[in-house]
Amino acid sequence: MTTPELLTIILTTAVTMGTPLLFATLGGVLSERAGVIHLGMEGIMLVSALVTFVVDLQTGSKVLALIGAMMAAGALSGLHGFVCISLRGNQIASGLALALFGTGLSGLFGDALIGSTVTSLNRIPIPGLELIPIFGSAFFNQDWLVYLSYFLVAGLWFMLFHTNWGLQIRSVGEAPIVCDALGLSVAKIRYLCVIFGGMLIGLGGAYFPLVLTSFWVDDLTAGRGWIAVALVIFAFWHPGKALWGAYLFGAAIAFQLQAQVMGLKIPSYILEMFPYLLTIVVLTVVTVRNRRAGQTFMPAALGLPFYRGDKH
Amino acid sequence: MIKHLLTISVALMLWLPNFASAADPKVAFIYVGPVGDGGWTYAHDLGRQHLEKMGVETTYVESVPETDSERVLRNLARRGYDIIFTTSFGYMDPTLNVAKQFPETIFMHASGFRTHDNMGNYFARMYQARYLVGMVAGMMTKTDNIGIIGSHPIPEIIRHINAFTLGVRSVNPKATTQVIWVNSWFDPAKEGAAANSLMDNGADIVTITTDSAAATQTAAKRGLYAIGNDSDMSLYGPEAHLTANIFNWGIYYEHVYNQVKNGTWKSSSDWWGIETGAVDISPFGKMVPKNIQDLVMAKKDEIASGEFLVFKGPVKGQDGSTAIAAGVVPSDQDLLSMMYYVEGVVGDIP
Amino acid sequence: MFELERRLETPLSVQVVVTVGSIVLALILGSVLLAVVGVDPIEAYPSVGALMFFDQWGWQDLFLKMTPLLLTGLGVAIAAQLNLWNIGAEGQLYLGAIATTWLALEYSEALDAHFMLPILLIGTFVAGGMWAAIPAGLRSWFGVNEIITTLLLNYVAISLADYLLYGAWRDPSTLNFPMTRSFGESSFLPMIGSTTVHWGLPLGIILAFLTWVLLKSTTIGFQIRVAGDNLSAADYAGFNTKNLLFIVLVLSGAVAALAGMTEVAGVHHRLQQNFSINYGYTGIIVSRLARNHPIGVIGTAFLLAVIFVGGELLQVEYQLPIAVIYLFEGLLLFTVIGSELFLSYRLRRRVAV
Repeated sequence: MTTPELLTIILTTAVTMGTPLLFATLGGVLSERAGVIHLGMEGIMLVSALVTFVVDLQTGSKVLALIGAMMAAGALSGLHGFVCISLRGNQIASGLALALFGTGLSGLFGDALIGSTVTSLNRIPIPGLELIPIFGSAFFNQDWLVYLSYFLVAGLWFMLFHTNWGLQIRSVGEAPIVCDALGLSVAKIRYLCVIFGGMLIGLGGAYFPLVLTSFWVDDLTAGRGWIAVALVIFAFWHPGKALWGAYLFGAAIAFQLQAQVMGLKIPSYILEMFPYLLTIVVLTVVTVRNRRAGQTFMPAALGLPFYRGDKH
Repeated sequence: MIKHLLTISVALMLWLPNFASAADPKVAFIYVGPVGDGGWTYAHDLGRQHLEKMGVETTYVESVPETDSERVLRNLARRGYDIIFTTSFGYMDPTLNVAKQFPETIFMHASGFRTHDNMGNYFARMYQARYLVGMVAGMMTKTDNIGIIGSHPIPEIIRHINAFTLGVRSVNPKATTQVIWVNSWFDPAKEGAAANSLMDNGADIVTITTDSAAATQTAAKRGLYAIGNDSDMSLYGPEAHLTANIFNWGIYYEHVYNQVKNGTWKSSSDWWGIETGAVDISPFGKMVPKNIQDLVMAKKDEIASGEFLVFKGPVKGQDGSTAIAAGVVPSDQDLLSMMYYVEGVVGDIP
Repeated sequence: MFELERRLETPLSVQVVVTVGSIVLALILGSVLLAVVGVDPIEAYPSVGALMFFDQWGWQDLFLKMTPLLLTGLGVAIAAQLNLWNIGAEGQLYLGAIATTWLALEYSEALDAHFMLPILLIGTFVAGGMWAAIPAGLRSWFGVNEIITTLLLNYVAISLADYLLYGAWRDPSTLNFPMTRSFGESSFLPMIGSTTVHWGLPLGIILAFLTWVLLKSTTIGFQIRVAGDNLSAADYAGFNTKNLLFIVLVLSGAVAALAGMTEVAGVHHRLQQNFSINYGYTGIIVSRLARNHPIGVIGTAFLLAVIFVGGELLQVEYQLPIAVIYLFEGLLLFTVIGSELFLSYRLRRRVAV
């Protein structure tokens, strides 16, 4: 096998394995930009994967399945929002509760689906672009959800950094007291971000039955919701960096598999650690560089509940 | 008032442990995964359901971590279950500990090696079925490259890879098997990616040692073939699924249940082979030609009758050295601790 | 009609009423859940309660389950004193278990039996501290977010355990299954009396009180409390907050690592795969429910043990799938977290302006 072929193979796997992480990370970015930590991604992904599967099985419509998944994910995130925003509960603990809750919900209703199967999405090559050497077929011969994720990255970036909405969202995450004084409804903006963010996480869950595994087994996502939690921070709450982070994790898996086929003598349990260690190194380098430049990226009010009556 | 008291005392009596008569043993199972895993635990639960259909009272506790199993087992024993099946290797020591505490209860542990007066162990010779499905793969491959997705490198999995490879090469000495380890017992998405890697590298048939249907589906998507594991996975890709090696635990569980009921049960180590039906291969897919099917079924009869042994010397190791000398039949102990690849396997044991 | 008003202080009575109230609410919601899946809660609660609290095995189960949760919860709580989130207790627990196993396998024969337990204790504590020094150092001197580094190091520690279990430490006498050989008896944590409860529980309780004393009555404890309240104020006061952050996170990891030691030396007497059932992650809940109070974690670790063991009993007694147990746990957490509102705020009739 030639090197370009090999790279294409690794990149293709990186994109398919990275896409559910990317959706979930984008959802986390939106929610956390408004100041609400979202730790319950694993639970949301499982429930939305289940709903996707059920709706697809019943109606045969991928679009309806996606809508169902997003509604379920939005509803669960709304619960998280209620506890964190209205009741001012601890966001990390609420996220953990959500993860448990979602795992339970999907397990309870999933058992009836074992043995059923749905069709998966076809790859749709984009004429011209797919012919680019090495990258072309990896990025432009994919299913339409992958293309949707590209638009979401760009759209979320544009919305957050170049629109008035984005400014409001970021302000709520940075200085809710000021926003409140300016007449913005902190609670409303946070609710919206948590719920829409949850819907994006739901797309990540939906990617499993629609593309990766067209059957149902308990615990289908196998812990990817937790990786997405880390990726949100790794991406410094930035949609573009979320893309790199998600693909990096996808590529790490691809490399681990490919290395075995190529007969590279690296103990695979050591390879298993590699993406995590690399993430820590990259995070350190970027943090140091940002601090030297006088920037911090973490939303200042992240994790802090807000209530107008408080006089901080 | 009296009526109320009666109701309450009846209710209280219902809570008390029911000491079942030996005539009608109650059976409990503990599973390491959810019954929804579609594979290992699912297969055991089908066995439990088989008992249930016979009218036996059964219960199960799923997703019991090995470290919590001792407590769960104790609770089941206290609840008066007469036979408790513990279906994961890691339950071995906990089962033994609890067996010592509850000498009246019968414990059966799957896939281990310890026994006690009231504790037996059992397993099925799945490697025999693996050899047969290997033959199918060997005859169906066009590229002489067959992919295997490994979970974690324990002797059981290595044994199955070896038996499969011996089966492949018995009919197609040019063919090799390429192993990729995913280092996980359960991660369907990663298994799918591994199947893709194998097929990208020229494999035209893939099989797995984990339970999920990921390999079958990936092969179906690419118009290639797959061989299922632990249960018939043809549902997930009828056009790709050549066959599968499967468990029928119900047959064994019924056997143990009857022994206990008749009072003939004695502690032993059962390793049931293909002759009992506890392991088998699932119906062939339409694309498997009749002559191949016949050949495989003939070999199945030979294995069942004991005429043919899957592991019998001479067997060469991966590097061509002698792994099992000519004429030597390895003991069950040797098979249970097998940690080397046979000739024809490509890849490393991590 | 009503509005919320922040309480200046929360009387103990309110704390008790709110906590008990939220648990009762969770039980009520849980009974709805049970009824939905076809179990009569009026029958189930008392019978499961009786099996836990009116039964010597039940108590032992609870104490056994509580031990690792107490240690990981305490570890997380220590970090929380400086508003640090140690999500890495799971990995620290694994590393602690690896350290204990290494010492036990390596020195069981070589050393006098009396030294073994102190060596295990100190060795594991130091190893856990060194492991936590990675995120601690990165946080103190480079400002790297500790939530992500501690979370990611969990995966590294678990892979390290796999690497050893599938490699050098695999015991040929167990048919090459991924478990080490059993430790020598000198490395077993002794049991309390004739029970199955080992000395890990008293160790955890002692550590909880020590932590409390450290925070309340030492200089460094005072500095930690000031810095936890307001980091920049502590900077102004001339405290070395970088060192404080470092020390606190290292201590946090060292204590969490002891949970690994008590599990392998107290329960399993060997290292094997999956010996932790998310004890590290559950430790975050333990700490949080106790509002990160070092003595409080004793109570919440017990509460979580009740949930786990009760859930198991529900499964055994009523054939409920594990999914119902997860749902139940999720509900309880939600109500407890949600109710915290009433600790910091009270409802007040809105005054017309």
